[in-house]
Amino acid sequence: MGKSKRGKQKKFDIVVFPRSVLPKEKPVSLKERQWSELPSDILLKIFEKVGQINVLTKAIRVCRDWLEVARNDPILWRKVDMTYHGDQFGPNDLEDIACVAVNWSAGQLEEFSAEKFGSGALLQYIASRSSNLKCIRLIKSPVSRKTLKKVIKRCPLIEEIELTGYLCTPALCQAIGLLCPRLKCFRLNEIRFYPGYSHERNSIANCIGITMPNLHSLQLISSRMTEKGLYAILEGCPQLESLDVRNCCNLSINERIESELERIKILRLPDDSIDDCKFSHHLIPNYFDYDYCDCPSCAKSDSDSDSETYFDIEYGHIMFQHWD
Amino acid sequence: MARSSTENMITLMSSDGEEFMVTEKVARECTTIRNMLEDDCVITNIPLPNVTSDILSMVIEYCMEHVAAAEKAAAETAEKGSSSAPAAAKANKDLEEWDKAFMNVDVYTLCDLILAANYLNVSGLLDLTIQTAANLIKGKSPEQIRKTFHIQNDLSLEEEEKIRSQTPWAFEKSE
Repeated sequence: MGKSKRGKQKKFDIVVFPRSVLPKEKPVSLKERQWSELPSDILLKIFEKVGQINVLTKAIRVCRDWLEVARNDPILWRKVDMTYHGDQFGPNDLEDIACVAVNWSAGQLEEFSAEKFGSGALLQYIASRSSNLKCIRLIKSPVSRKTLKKVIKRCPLIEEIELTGYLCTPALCQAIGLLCPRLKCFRLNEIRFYPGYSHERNSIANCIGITMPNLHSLQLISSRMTEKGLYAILEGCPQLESLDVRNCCNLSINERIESELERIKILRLPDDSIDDCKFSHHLIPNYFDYDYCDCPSCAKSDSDSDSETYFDIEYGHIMFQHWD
Repeated sequence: MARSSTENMITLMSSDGEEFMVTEKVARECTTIRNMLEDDCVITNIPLPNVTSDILSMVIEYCMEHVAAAEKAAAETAEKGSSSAPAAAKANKDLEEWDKAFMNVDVYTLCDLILAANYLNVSGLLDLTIQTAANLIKGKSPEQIRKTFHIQNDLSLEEEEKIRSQTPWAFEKSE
């Protein structure tokens, strides 16, 4: 590029650079730069670091330029991360904030993460407006399993799902697997169970093995599966590269499993510490902990609203709020 | 400066006409300059019409520090065959401390540094300055942000009212 011009430039002492290598900039003025007049691409980078909640609650009210950059550039709202909000806002406010973020994303939302909020109504709204949604992370979300299924059904491009501190059932797990053929990354982190309360449960692991053949990465912290479940996963997910089974107390790693696990590049074993897990404080068991049953009659209750479950989690949460 | 005699030197010229002689290695930390050098290797004198001398000297200081840190790490790795993890961690921490001290500037300088890092495409410095600006914004009310960055509120009453009606939560909790 610019090669024909370069020959001419050599005649001059001062080198003039081809336009292609120099970013377009206004000529410099020596007076103080005004923060309100920062180029929008730089302001966007700053806003990305500030976080969407801070942008929507503070930065947009600073001046017109900042408001316009935030409102008119959907790129800023492609990845909406509403975790780590430090309980500044209640779930209802967070839902409103998320709605504005979704509106301003102008249909380009690709990743949505919510912590301690995310009602069925909000998730349905997101699904209806975001045909490009690829990743959804829900940490302690109150959405019912029934609604979650509906939401996922509307987002066929989903590649990554995280459900942390959420009561997933085999039926939901199976639905996710069947509805999301592109699913590459699945995180299902359950609340840690009490010793002596750890009935073996392999049905979720079996569902993963049967319905999620394209998984590359799987995180199942505090799953109750045994070696049998792990075999089902390893057999059903030939592309698995990353596996995290920390805190799976029913799982004993014997030699045979070890040889099976050799192909996993990133491996976290049951006894490894979960302290570096971002949301481990949400996995602390509480007094209102519950169990699900695999039997067919109980599986029916899956279709009920889970609002009670939500409140259980919430009460438990109030107990643990000082952990945040 | 014994090593400078063996290395290619590049002259960078600021918008106010001051010249800075730096090693090619330091200059290459700026992707914009690196692209020019790769495009035309005989360039030795580069005018930078968008960067003033005080800001350019800071950018060069940053690049020199980071080049020196990388060279030191490489030398240690070569000496011992493999880098020892604690030493590398300490070196990283030292560099982080240096970055932190380097960011102890007023908001006008910070703004100029952001623009210079963006123009010269020094990714490390751009990340650092942008993170610093973001940290200054985080946790502040709009009024405090305006004060910090010396920004005039040019939103009309109607606009403010419109934002208020659309985002009521922003007003109830933050002030």
